[in-house]
Amino acid sequence: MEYGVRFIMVLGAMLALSVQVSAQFSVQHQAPTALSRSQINALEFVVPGLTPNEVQEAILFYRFDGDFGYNQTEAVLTGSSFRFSLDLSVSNASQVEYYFQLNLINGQSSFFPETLPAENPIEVAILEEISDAPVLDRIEEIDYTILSPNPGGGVTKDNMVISITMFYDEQEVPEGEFRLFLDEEDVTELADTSAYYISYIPKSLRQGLHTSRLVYRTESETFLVAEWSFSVVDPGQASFSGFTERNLPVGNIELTARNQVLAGEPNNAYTGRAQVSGRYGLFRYSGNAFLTTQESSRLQPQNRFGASARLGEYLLAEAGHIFPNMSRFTIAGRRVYGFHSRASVLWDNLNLQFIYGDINRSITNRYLGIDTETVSLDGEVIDTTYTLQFQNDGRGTFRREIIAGRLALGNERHFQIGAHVMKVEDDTTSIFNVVDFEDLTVGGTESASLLSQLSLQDQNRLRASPELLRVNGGSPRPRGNLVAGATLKMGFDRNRIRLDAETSASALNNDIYGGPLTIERADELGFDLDQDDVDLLNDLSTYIIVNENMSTLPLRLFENEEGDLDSELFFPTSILGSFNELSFNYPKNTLRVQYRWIGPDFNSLANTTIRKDIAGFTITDRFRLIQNQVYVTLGIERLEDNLTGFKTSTTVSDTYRTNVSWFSNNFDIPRINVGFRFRTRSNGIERFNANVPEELVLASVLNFSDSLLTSAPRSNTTLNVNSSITKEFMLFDIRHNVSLNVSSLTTNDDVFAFGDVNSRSFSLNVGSQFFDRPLRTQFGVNLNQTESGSGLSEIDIFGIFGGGNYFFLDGKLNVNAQIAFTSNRTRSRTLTIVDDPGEIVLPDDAHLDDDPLNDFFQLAPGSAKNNFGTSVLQAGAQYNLTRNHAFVFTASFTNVSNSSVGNDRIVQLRYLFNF
Amino acid sequence: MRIPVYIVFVFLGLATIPGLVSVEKATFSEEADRPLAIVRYFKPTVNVQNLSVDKRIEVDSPGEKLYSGDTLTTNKGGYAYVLFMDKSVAKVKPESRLIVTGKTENTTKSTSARINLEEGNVLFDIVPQGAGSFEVATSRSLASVKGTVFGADADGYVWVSEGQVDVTALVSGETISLFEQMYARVNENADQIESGVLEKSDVENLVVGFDDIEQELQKRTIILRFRDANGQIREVPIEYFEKDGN
Repeated sequence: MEYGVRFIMVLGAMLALSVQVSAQFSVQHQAPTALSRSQINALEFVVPGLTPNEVQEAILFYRFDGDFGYNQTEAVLTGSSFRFSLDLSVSNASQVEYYFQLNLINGQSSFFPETLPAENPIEVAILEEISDAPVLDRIEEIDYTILSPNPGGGVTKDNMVISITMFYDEQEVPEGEFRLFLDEEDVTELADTSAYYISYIPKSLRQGLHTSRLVYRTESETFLVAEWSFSVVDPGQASFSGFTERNLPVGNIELTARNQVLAGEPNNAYTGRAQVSGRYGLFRYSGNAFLTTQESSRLQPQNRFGASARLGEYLLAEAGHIFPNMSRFTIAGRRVYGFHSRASVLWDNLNLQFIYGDINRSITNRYLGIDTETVSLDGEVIDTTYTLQFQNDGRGTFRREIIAGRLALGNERHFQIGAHVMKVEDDTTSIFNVVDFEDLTVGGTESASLLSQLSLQDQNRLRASPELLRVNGGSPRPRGNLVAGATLKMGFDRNRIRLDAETSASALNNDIYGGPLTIERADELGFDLDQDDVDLLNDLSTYIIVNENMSTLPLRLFENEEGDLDSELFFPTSILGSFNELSFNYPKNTLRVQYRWIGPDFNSLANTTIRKDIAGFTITDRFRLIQNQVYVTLGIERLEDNLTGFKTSTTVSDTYRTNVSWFSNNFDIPRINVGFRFRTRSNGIERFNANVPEELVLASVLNFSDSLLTSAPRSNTTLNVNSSITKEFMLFDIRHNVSLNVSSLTTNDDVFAFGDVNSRSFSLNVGSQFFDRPLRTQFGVNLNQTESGSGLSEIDIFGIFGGGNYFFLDGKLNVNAQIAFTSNRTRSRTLTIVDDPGEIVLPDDAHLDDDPLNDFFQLAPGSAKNNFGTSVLQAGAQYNLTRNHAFVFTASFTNVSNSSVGNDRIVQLRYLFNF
Repeated sequence: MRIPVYIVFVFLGLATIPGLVSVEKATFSEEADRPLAIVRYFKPTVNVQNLSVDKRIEVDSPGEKLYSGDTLTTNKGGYAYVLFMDKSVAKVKPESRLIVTGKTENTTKSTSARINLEEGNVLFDIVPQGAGSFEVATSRSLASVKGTVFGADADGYVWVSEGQVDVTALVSGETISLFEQMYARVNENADQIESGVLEKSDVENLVVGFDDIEQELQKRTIILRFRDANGQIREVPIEYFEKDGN
């Protein structure tokens, strides 16, 4: 058994690898040094050479502070990149973790990061505010009077003087010095200073808004004394400050016509996209629609539309294709085609939420026909098999419905208790689905067509034994899921201390055909069920159909007094998921203590990213140092699986995290972020196999404890280092923004010779804005190297791109071009099993001893190589006809070297109308 | 193609060094003295002198500091806008001479100031005085104020635009209180006070000339309203700066 498991595992890894290798798109992403809670953050993932026709969906999975499940959000391809907007104001977390998944029409997927993205996501610190100015505490012991310029006032250039006087008792103020800043530049050395008065006359201060700041710097800390803005003005000039709020809707319409040749096949595509939004006081509304000729009934919807209406923060209603959030254990950003409403009334003391719709739409099964194969012996037919075959990509999907509701009483800033229920169930009638021969006899053109392929004799035989008809790969099975739970939220000390808890229970039925269990069905299964239990199961079927296909059956079997198997209902704790967090959110220190417990049978069909069979503590502390310029995050975590004790071993993971972000007051110093994560993972089983030589023990297929076969041992350490540095500077009168990311991941496996993983990535982006001409340029280079399985596979991806935008005709015409090249180099070897350790030779020549106890893994001598390069040339122009109308032309050419696939080229014309 | 990761980290470290070396401890020498006021605006020629410390300055930039004992003189055609530490203002007309004395407390926003107006005309805008005091003295009179807008000349004439001023004849000690739109004149012997009521137009005439002195500009907004192409009434705020009170 263990032999088989390990072998399948290795094959599985190789298969996954081959899928990754064959994907010709590599995702490039420059992780930000930090994200801000006070603004909408943009994350961009660039996929050179990708065309909209190839994209099924692009999803950003994100979570906060090492949560066990991910939220998700989708984006559309614009140019060659996906851009996600992340609003972090809804969370008080100190860190966001994310990864990107690109699903293609052809079924392939690409990820960023590439190696185990869900387990090793990108980690970025969340700061309250990322501004050029540091966040400083005020010093109350120092009073002041701003003499000039008046805050908010204007002054001519000739009369400019900054003047402020301070009042304080020097006995009460720690020793320090005043520093005066003008527009973030320290001008103290140029100022006229005394202990109680500072003035400064700037030379040639440009017209416009400026900011002065006086700070008091002690040996250990810098305090804010005063900060004010003023304008240097020409009294004869007026300035336009923007339009006032308007009540008519704003929006845009985008029509796209695309001609493309992909893999040598020409294709035309047309899309239309429209967005409209508006507001009237507290009332806000929006609508969106996307239509494409690429819509396919074989996929989930590509054509999408939605509308929403909101009254302040009190009421929300949205319909169409929506992305609702209810809780971490139910649904968190998954697309729903339906309706979502939320209400918070009575000063947020009564909160209601309701979701209804479809998670998946139905996709009909497409059958090819029934293969009839006969088995003969001595010319005589002794058996016939009947196999129903699907067409290529013909397997269908049930329409999956969701209905969910939540009620919460109390304001969560003080005390709130809530409850939620979510039911997800496939509509068994939504598609024609053949499970056995009886399904072909219900009538209908499709079943009649399939029946006609069978002789009358075969039909009679199958009528007598319907189960003889097999469906190739199995037929789709409808599933049902119920998640119900409660939440508790409390806030103290002006919401700085928070307690958040959620506990949910789930039930999952993997095949709801046949309905709830009956006495007869229980009898067939070999146990007794009384009528009361059946009545209860029938009542429960409104919420979840309970039968023998439950992932966890709430029935406990026992032997009764007569010696028969009897059953009783019980509550299985393995279906529970619980999240508890106590957090202290103070300006200089954020401490978070979490305890999470998610049973192995917890399932939410609306959020499949939730990690299961895991429990443990996580403690994270983030504090600021050196006048709030340095953010330090320390974290420790202990998690273990095997919560119900059904596994033969328990794997314990200990993780230690450190992250340091430096945002200096000095603008000559770049922003720097360095993070370390060290994890040990062990299941306590020692590697031992006396049947193989000592040097081959780590490669042995089986593992023993004394003479007993054990499960596979697990013991490894992983060190993950992430660092980024960004700097803005002027050079040759050009403003440059440079961002450099370096990360590495090293896993050392102590008990398996082919378990090591080494991965490192490097990326550099330079954005430049010219001041003497209307030009912006972008240059980037990235390198990813991954070696796994101690030589089992090597993947090197090198990418470089450069491009620019040039503006003509006073910005009416924007011409842009980008060239990108990606080199992919892969080396993969296979693992073979050597049967006799005494004969370490090629498998073909191996001496076979037919003893599985001494088998061991060995790397095959030859390696499969796959080298190819992707070159992408893109060029385009946007001409703004008027303020409302614009035309955009783009063309791209993609060449994949060392490939039999032809070049891709795409020409696209877009018309944009903004109103 | 394969780049050892340690080289990248070394590069990362080197990139931070230029920034690190630029971190330096800044210091400045502390003068304990705080000016009593500054010459915020002036034109075209204003002199400051203090013979006791051999100080003779022709003011050439805004913000010139006035310490206790300094004498400020405006020449013919010269104006000065003097700003005290509590933001009280003295607008000085041409051909005036005044001596500022007083002190500003270190720990509280309390200024005690006396202006000896030896020649000329001055318009005062005094912020309400708490623990501090503000007095204007001439050879004949002493005006004590607690927060007001008033004018005075060296010949003992005092008039009030806003608030209250107590005027004392220096010889006789007679004191009267002036309120809005009132005046007082102390005779040459400084023993009698003549007072009366001014018309609003009189006050406006007395202010004339002081506005020639430059002052801070205040942000103003005008709103343009028009109908856009969609038929919607739109409003566009236009910001501009102008002298306060205009």
